[in-house]
Amino acid sequence: MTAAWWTPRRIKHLQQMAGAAGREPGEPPIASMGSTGPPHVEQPYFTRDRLVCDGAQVTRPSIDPYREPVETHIYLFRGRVRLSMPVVVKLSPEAGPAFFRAAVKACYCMNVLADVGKNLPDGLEKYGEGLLADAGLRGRAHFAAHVAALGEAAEVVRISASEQFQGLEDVLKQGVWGVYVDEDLGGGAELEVAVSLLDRMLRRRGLRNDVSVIAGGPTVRGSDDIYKLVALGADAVAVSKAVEIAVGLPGARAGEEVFRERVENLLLGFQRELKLLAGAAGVSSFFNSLVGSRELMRAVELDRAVRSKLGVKQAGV
Amino acid sequence: MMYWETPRDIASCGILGILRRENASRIRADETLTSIECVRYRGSRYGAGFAAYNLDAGSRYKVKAFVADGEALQHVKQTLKEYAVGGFWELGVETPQAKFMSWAAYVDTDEQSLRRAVDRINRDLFDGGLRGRIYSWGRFVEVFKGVGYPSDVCSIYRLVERNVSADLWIAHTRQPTNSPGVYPVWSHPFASHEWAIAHNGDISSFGANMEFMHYRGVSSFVGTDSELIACILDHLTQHMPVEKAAAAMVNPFEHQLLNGEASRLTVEEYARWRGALLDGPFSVVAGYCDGEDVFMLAMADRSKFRPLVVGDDGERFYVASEEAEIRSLSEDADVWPVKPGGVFLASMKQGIILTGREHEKVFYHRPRKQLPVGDVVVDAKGLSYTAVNSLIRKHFEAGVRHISLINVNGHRYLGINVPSHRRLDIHGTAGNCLANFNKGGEITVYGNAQDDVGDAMYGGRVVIHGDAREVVGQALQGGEIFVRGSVGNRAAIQMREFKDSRPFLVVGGRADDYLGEYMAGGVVIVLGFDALDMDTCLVGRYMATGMVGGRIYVRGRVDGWRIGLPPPKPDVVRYLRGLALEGLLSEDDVKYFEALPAVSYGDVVERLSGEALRRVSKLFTSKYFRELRVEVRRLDEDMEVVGDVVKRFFHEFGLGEKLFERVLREEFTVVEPVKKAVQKAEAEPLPEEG
Repeated sequence: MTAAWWTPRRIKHLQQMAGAAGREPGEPPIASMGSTGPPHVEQPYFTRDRLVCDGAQVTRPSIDPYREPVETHIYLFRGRVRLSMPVVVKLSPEAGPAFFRAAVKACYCMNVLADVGKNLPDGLEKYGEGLLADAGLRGRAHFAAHVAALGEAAEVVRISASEQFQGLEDVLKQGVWGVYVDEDLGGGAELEVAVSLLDRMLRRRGLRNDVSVIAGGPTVRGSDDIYKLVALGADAVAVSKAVEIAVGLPGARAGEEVFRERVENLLLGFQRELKLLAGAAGVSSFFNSLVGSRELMRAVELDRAVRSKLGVKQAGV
Repeated sequence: MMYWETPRDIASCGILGILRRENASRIRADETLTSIECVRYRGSRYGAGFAAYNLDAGSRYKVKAFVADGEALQHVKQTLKEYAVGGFWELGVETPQAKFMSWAAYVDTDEQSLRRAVDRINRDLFDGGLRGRIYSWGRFVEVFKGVGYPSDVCSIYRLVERNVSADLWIAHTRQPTNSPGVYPVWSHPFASHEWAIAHNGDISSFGANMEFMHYRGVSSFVGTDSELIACILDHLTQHMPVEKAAAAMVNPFEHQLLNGEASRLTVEEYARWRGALLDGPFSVVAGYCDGEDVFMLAMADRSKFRPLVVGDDGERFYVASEEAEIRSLSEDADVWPVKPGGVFLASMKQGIILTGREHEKVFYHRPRKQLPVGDVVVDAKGLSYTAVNSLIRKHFEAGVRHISLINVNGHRYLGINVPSHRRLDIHGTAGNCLANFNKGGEITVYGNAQDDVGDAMYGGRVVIHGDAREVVGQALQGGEIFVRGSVGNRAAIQMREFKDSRPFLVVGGRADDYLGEYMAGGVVIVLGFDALDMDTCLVGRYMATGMVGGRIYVRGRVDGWRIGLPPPKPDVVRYLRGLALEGLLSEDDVKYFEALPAVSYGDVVERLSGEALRRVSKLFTSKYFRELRVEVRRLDEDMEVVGDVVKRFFHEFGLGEKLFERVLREEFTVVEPVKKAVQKAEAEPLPEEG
């Protein structure tokens, strides 16, 4: 049973990009002129559905990403790790071994990180530089650790989506390289609120460019969510359920090769959509110009308290 | 005297910088005013300003503030008292401005206290409803700005009457876009400590830049991107040399960063200063003084969405939006455009430190002066472009066949009204939009031409004896444009042809980025005469992106990565490494591609095949991908297409037989789209799902 925010339109869109449906894998499907998105056309489910992206204007023109460069690369961990786009794919063993192995390979090729948690099936060790994993897999990947299990040399701290960051402050003093807001750990705050508050907290401490922010989980539905979360302060956004849905899970009985192809297509599609979104805003560099750039969004029908947490201005004023 | 208020259809500001060499005399206010007023039509009555730098100005800070009323002024004084270690000496209220007066004082204090005082005052006055702002607070720089045209602001501060002179002037005339121009706080230049900048553009990284500065000692912004640029320059240069700060701020493309082409900026530094880089359109001129020397910096955005030229006449260095500004003071200066993403830096004592581009010496071609030979000679001196154009129209209507227009300096829209087979000679620097929509007129420029020559021209000829700047021959669809020198960014974009109309653009020099972007027809030839014996590529990056028709000839070999829009090399190499891990490629293959400066589609097609090629191709191709055929061959094989036009080009510029023969022996890179075979219907299409 999928949650309400997985509307038929979204599922079809993801599956077309992955190539599980339609005939143009890897291409952003063109649905209509204008917007099909929330809050006014589709029903809003999350606070971020009430954020709209500011477009370019004549003095700051849009960019056609098929003809001009829009750089989607992101450098994490003080420049040590490069991603082709602000995306991490969070994998769960429940989706089956064929998909798991396929996704690790696809993420490696497409130059994004695969978050494997505690699991690393045999034969995938060689993909270590493309993995984000829990502390138990230290030495075989860029690892993340729960706050509780924090060791001295922890690179990335995994935290829940919360509005409070007690405990994290001490950890930051030890010089961690990243914070991973993982929806699967609960926390009670919406992802976008947690990301924005964390970004601001790091900025206040002068640590923003030293500590990478990864955030995401099962509510991330596609490149629109990725774009908005990046503009609120995430360096990379973890996508999990969306990838499974896109490749046809649950239910698809495909082999590893087919899954790998689909995940690659989906990631390529995400990258192209992200370029189109940034291009429409006249932004040619994700890493510099989009991360934390709340000015590129406006809030529609959000109350002042939430707007202030997000740092996003009201639309139309 | 009557002033023309141009319609506000041209969103552009005018910027200017003039720096003297150490042994030359100081630059007077009236010279600066003459120069910036020359592009009056770039601005509006909503704001102008000047910044004057003098190395021997002294050791005390001069603080200048706009204040709305006595209460705001009281707050400024009170705060300065609190922070300034050695106190301050009031110079009084300088001049009343729209709702604001300008107050000035000498302040005796240390830099850090002053920084804190300025931020505190600006935050308090801004949060109190924009009641005032400190707008100038350096020892060596003083800003004069207000509401009005440059001439208005100049008289408000009586710069000419007071004989103000400077080692370096920055000037600006403003066309407001995102913040209103009714108060002087929004006028340029914007200053931060010893930096002052004037800016033309609208940066899309504004939000990221604000977030960057917000927690670094600047807590109040008047809401313009331009103010932020001054703050960022001031901030970065406290941590790194000016060259490096500028190299970072122009937001180098990743391949430039990785190839060490961005002033040795490392990836680690790129990550550390992330948020300080500028995205979107900008041309910036900035001044700086470190107490030892005076510097003038100019930066262009990496897409070159705004014009920027620089000049040197042996006595002074110039930075301008339009060449005409430089020519109004210096007829013989060498003038060249800053390249996309380029940085120009000069100092009073060291001269030019960064030239703003490679090959600047071969880039500008200096035409010889010619005597006017037309049936009628029109003197453009002192006339507005509308006056000049009506005079020309009247003469042509009266049946004159050949007009010589002399003393042209930046006059716009010339050559838009030349009837078929009549001739207009232009002596001087032709302004923007020369020969737009030209139908059949013959237009010759003895000098350089500014931006946008021959836009949507569909017949006739344009011959330019010097260089042409940005966007030459956009949507050119008939006739021919010959440029003896070089052309700037985005030449021949959207050029097209029809059954009986094939346009030609022939360039004797070089071209910058995006040559032939979206090109759909016609022929472009880049000859590079001034670089015949140099081993350099004649074009910039992203040539022929989106090209669907026509043909481009560039003398010499054009690197594969300059053609089209290849994916980032690190992504390609990573994909190939993934293929190697799956056993589809050898480690040697990966190493081969890693060693290339960039990886083009041609490179992978040449080396790979089968499954590996199929898989990696997806990074290069898409639904909108159009394959280009790139061949290297001698021009004599193509004489049927280019023979006549190249001969006419040689004849027009009096180039000799020997040179012609040499050119025929040279290799050319020829680029054209692969002709698509008629698509056969595919096998049974899959049913649409959903």
